[in-house]
Amino acid sequence: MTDADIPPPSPSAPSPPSRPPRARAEPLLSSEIAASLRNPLQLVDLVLATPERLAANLESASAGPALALAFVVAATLFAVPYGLVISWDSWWRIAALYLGSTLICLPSLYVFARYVGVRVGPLQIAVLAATVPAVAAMFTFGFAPVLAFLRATMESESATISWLDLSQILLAIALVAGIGRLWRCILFARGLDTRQPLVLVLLGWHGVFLHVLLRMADVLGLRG
Amino acid sequence: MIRSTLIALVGAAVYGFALGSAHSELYAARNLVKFPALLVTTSAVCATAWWIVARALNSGLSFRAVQHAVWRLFHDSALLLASLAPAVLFCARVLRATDDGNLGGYDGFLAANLGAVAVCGVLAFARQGTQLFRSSSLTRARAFALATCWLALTLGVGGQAAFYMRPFFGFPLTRGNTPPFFLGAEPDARGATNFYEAVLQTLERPPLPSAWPNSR
Repeated sequence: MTDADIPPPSPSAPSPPSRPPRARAEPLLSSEIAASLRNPLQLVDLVLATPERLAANLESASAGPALALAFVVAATLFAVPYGLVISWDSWWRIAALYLGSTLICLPSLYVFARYVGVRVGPLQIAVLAATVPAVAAMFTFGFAPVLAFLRATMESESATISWLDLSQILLAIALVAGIGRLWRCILFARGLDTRQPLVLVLLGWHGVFLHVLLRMADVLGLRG
Repeated sequence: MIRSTLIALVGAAVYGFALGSAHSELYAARNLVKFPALLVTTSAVCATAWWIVARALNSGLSFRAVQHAVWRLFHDSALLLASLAPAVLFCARVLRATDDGNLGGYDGFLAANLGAVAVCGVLAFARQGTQLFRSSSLTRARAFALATCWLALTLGVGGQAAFYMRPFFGFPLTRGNTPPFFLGAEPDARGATNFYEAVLQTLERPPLPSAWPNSR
């Protein structure tokens, strides 16, 4: 049977059942965000498990300051264990890597977005960008025991592949997870009326961000 | 959870014993401890990462539920491997009785057991992935994405743990020696000091050192 043999659907024929429309997510409330700042487990869920609700916050421009604070706290605190595994005096380096690079590149994202006509406020952009370091920090929190185990069981001096090499891979995975989460938020934020130019700006901005991040990794001694 | 954990540990011990019998009673007896220790170490090291990945994929699973799900994977794999233990034990004893005291059937035995572990792992992975899909709010694709991430993490950490806890069974040439309980980061035959180097060398296939096996 070829395509030509298949009769065209008649206008009166019932259309195939379509997937029910996804329920619109509610924005995160300031009270929920404040509660997550008091409970680290809730903070994990806020950062990792609610991209559609975060997108609703971006659309409605609500709870911006609280969200930005929560993300900065998450990006700082949850990155500490991984830094401690690298060395006691490196506890701040992972937060500096992800959050520092984001902060350095934040003005460019905001200015370029506004310049091409994206109608978002500075806090919305800050929250969106802060998803990257916050999610990456969460992943490094999960990877910290893995790195500690690798460090305890591997030689670092003479080995072709050392635990520091594997640390770079884990940090890259965490970064990819953070960038992936940013794009999921954008994907869910269908209500943003200027989403297309924002997507274009973000694509270009990632180049700048990654360049700065690699330089930051060099400066912090996190690359071999 | 306690029941599935115990079954996983006993299953691993039984399989480990059969595997170690290819070399000597010493290795077989040590494997009774080493194989369960391998599972416990891997799960302890990966626990937080498994949970973070599950949260990131919107699974809705709590920390406890994640550990339960992963131990069910271990449980199924260990049970399947334990069922192969009589066959492995038989082959191990035959190999031991007939080997040349040098390399013997080491490579074939290793390949067969790696194949067995892979088949059991994939079967457990497919079944538990399906159960995860049914019991949680995950879509099928996301349930398998989650199980794949867990598997990758487990392989990466479990591989290094296994390398560190060597030897599980060795060349017949080393029979009669009493190696340390764990060889740790001591170089293997090709000089790899960790699992990832060993994988790299398996892919690149560098020649064995000329002094080997007389140097071992």
